[in-house]
Amino acid sequence: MTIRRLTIASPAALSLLLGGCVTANFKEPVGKFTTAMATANASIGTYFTEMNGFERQAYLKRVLYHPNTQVAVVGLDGKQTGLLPVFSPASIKARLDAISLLTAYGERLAALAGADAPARFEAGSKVLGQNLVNLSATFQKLTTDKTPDPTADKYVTPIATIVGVFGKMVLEQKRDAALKEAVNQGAPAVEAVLGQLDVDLQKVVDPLIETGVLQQLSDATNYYNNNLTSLNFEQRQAVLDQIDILAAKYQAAVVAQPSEAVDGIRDAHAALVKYANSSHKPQDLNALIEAIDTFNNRLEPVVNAIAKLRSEK
Amino acid sequence: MSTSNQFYQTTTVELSAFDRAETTANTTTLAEAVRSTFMLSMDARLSLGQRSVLNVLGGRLRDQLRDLLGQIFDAGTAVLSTANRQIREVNTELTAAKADIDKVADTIESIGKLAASLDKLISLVGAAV
Repeated sequence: MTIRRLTIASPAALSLLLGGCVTANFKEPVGKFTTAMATANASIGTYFTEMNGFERQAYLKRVLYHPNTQVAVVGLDGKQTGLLPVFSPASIKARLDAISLLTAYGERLAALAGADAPARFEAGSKVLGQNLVNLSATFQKLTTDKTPDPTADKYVTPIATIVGVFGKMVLEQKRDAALKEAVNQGAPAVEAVLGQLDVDLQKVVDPLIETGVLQQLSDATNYYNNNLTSLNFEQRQAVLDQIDILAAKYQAAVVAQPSEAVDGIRDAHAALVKYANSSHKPQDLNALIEAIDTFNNRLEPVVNAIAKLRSEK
Repeated sequence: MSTSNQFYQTTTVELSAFDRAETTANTTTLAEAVRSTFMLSMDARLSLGQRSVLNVLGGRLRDQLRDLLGQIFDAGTAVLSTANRQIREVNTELTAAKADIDKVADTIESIGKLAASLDKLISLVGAAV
């Protein structure tokens, strides 16, 4: 009777034991976060990699529409014209490094969250148990030439299973603890990077692109108006086509809010930090997934705006 | 890994440098002036000559804006360099943590395979004897 009670009580006891060590479900939220971050980072990176190219293009358009202007690296005022890089390559590299590191950070979080070591440990324990049973049987056969002892299989296999289940649990907890630690240790640096990228995009990139496209539009418009009588029909059409493209680009530049992508990553990251430090209840996971889905929705218009800006050079 | 406090102290100092650069150059106002100048250069109510002058003036203002934006951009680089170093360290630790738990699983798989190999070897030896 006592044995029977114990047998019935065992699953409950095991569940209590497991309940005391709740395993987090990092895999899905970290995977979503990583994918979203990689997409956003690619679009943000484009702004930085093209800064000097954009300035070169604006300068050459200026020369094109001002026929008396010579091409030069340094202008009559002694300043860089924009033909060669005006934004420090080291500063651009720091931004691109930050973006790559953030992407790598997300990927490594995902790799750890999706590590199959706990499952492999459980399976490996079972295989080991079975192989030990076989080994024991072979030994017995060789030494006594009798039928193998059935008790070996009776004990070794269940013990290996138990070792596998608990080993898996221990590894899962070790993995989750490492994830929590990494998320918390990385948080200040990730926030600093995102804060700086936000400032860069809002205070540097946005005004640079908007005024740069507007300058090109003004150059082309003034050229057209000043040369109305000397241009033939085809030439007028060519300039008007350029004005059309530049007007569309200006509209896209005014609408584009690249810092929205960074704000989205910040929200998704804040949700991940909150989840890492939560009790890992289902509602915590849902809140995180919801935050990341919201971020993905915010990202779409940013990616579209970049595509539009890049479509017409 | 450095503590968060150390990181924040460094970041605060570097952000102050950024604020100084920003104070020196009120780029938001300058950008607005550039926009207004270029917009006026495309306003047909002004004469062609006036519009041409505004176009050139807008270009000069924008060159100044670009130089100031370059300074602000460079001022933020130090903040990023510190943060990048921190993230690199966390990434290294993440790789080590994964390798650590993988090693445990690898070990038990290897022992399982060893037991299987031993079983085959002993069977062969037994058959030969």
